[in-house]
Amino acid sequence: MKERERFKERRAITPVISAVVLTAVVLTLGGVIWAFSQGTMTISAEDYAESVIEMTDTISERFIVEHVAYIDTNLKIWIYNYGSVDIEVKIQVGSDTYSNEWREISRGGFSDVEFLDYPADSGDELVIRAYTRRENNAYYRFIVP
Amino acid sequence: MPTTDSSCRRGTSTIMGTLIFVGIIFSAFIPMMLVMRQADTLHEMRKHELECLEQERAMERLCLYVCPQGIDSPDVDLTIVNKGDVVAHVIKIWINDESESMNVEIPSMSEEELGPFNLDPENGDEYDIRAMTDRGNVYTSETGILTYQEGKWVTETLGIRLIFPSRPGKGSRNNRWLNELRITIADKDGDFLYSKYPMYWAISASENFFELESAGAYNIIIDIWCKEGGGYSGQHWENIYDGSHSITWPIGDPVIEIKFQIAGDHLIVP
Repeated sequence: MKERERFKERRAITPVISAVVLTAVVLTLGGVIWAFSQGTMTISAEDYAESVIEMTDTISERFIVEHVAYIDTNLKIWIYNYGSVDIEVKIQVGSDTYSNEWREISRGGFSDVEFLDYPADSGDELVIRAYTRRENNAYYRFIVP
Repeated sequence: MPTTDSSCRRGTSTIMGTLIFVGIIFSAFIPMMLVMRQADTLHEMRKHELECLEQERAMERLCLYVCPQGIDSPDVDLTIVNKGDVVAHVIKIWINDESESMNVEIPSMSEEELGPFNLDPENGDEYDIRAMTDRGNVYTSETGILTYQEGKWVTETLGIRLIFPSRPGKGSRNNRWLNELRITIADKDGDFLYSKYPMYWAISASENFFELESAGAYNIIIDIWCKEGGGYSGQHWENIYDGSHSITWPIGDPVIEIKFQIAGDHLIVP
C-alpha cells in the first residue's frame, strides 16, 4: 500500500511537467509566430502605403511645356510644374534625349532648359516631349520660325 | 484518468494558442488593414482633388486682348476678360520669348487691364503675346500677332457702318424729307472726324462706311435736306438723329453697324 501511494505521488509529477513543457512550447512557437507575423504585416503595410503614396504622387504630377524658343541655333524650352508634387524631368526632341541628369522642378516652379546648336531649318516641325521620372509626359509641337 | 489528464493539458495549450492567435489578429493584422485602408482613403481623396483641379482647369476661360495705346505708340495695353466660371490667377505674361511675372486674380465674368507694356518696336517686328495661369493654361491674344510696319501698328480696320432703311416714297410720304443726308461724326473730345459728310439716301435703302483710326465713343449727327414747311420758308436742313456709339475693339468688334429705323420725323436705333 505504501509503495502504491508512493508510486501515485511520483506519477503526479509527469503531467505537470508535460503541461509546463507543452505550454512553454506553445508560448515559444506562438511568440515566434506573433513576432514574425507582426514584422511581416508591418512591412507589408509600409510597402503598401509607400506604393499608394508613390502612385498618388504619380497621378498628382501636372506640368506643361509652356514655351519654346529657337534663337540662332539655340533651342530653349520652358516647363511649368503646376502640380502638387516636385518633379524631375528630361527633354526629348524628336528621337534625341537631352541631358543625362534629371532636372528638378519644385511644385509651382518653372524651369528653362537650353540646348546648344540644335540643327533645324525654318519651317521644321519639332515634337518636344518632356517626361518625368515617374513616366508622365507633356508634348509640345513647335514649328521653327 | 490518463484521458482526463491529456484533455486537461490540451485545453491549456488550446487556450494559449487561441490567445496568441487573437493577439496576432489585434496587434498585427488589424493595424495593417487600418494602415492600408488609410492609405487608400488618402489616395481617393487625392484623386478627388485632382478631378476638381482638372475640372476647374477646363472651366477656366480667358480672352486676352492686346491693343496699342495709339497707332504709333510703343506701349500696348492688355485686357484680360475672364469668361469662365472660376477665378483665374494670371502668373505670367509672355511677349515673344520674354516673360514677365504677374500676380493678378481675375474673378469670374470680369476683366482686368494690365500694362502699359513698352515694346519699343521697330519696322517689321511682330509680337506674339500670351498669358499663363497658375492652372497651367496658356492663352494667346484674341487679336492675333501684333505687327509694326512703317512706323505704326498694323491693326484691324475700325469704323462705323450706317445702315438706313427704305426712304419713305412719294405715296406714303407724310414728311418733308428729301434724299440728301449729311453725316457728322465727332469723337469724345468734340473733334470732328467727318463734318457734314454728304450722302445720298436711296429710296431702296442705303448704307455708308466711315473709317476711324481708334476705338472709343463717337457722337453721330445726321441731318436731312427738307422741303419748305415746319416754320421754314424754303428748303433747309433738319436734324433727324443725334446719338453716341462706341467701338470697343479689341474686346468688341472693330466695325459697328448701326441700323436705323424711322420713327416719325426722326431716326432711331432699336
